[in-house]
Amino acid sequence: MNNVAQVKELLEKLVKSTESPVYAVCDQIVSYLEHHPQQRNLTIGGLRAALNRSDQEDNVLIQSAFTLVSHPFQALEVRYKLYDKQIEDVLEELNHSTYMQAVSEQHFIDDEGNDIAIDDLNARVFPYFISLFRLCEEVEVQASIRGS
Amino acid sequence: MSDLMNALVPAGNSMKDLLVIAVELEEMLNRRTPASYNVFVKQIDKDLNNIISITESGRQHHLEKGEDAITEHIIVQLKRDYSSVHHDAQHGGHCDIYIETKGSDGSLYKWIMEAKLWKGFEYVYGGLNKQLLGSYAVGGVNNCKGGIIFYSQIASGASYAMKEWYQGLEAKGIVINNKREDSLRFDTAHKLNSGTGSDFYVNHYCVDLYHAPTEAKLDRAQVKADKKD
Repeated sequence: MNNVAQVKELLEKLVKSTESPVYAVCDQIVSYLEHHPQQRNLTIGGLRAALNRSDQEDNVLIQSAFTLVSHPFQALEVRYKLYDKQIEDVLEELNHSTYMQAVSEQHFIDDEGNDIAIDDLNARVFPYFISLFRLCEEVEVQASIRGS
Repeated sequence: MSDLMNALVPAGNSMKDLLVIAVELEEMLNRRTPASYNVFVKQIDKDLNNIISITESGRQHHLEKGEDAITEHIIVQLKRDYSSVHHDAQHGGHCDIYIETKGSDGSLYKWIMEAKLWKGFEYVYGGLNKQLLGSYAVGGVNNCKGGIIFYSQIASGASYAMKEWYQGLEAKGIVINNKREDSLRFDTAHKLNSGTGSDFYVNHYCVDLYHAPTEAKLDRAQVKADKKD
């Protein structure tokens, strides 16, 4: 479900039935992305600034961003930059499936074969979020051009 | 990794930072994008037990309610954590609670549950055997688990009802596994299609909703209403 209208409709229902602040902030993020289609890659700090929120409320913001990654919304994709031990250079990028597998197995083996314990991995991976709305629209436009 | 890519996206917070700020994040990821079907089911079991505990704390509000109203109460609480949870979903019939999500690898995971008021063994067994196992359940690695939950509003308590329940199941030849020390939770394994089909695994839950002061209050109100008539 990466159509803005469908995502917003479901979020409205969830906000109404649960009164959860997580879904309410999800709705704010989706509205922001709807009105800023040029905005593609966002960190939690970037989302905080975009929504003009206080860092005291990051708990809800973090949960909301990851909620939008999940089914049935799939409005955002999350990717993780893996830094070296000094947090200076990015070594590689992980997708969410790879990250969750590492969490499940409590360790990760990087491209060079280094075995990284989960605590170390968590200290060295920095997530950022990619809006899938524009991507979806681009695919639709390309399909209509091909069809015309 | 190109310098351009690094410049485009500021580093932000590490996952370690985010897990400290949002202590619920780890469990939230297990609910919403689990690494495996077992992780998903284990998290549902944990969440459901917490919801049952909260519901039992407010049992005075549920003594008068029927099956659907209590199920709806549980579903509203589940919806806070699971975006795709449905009451009366069409899944081989109208199952009471249906939860689905996609795992982190994109696989669709499903979990179903039948809910009944405790009206004796045979009534709840109909829910397990005819509805859950006979109609809604399907096999397969990402669909093969579910639950049955019953709501006890009787004065003798949920412990008494649960004992009736597992003794009745044993009398039908169903093996009780992993019985909790208080005997209020256990699980069972079944073969679908009347014993020749796929494996299906059921967690058993009960909710104790009896509340003596509320029952006394309801009785007094009934006497008053009868006198009016």
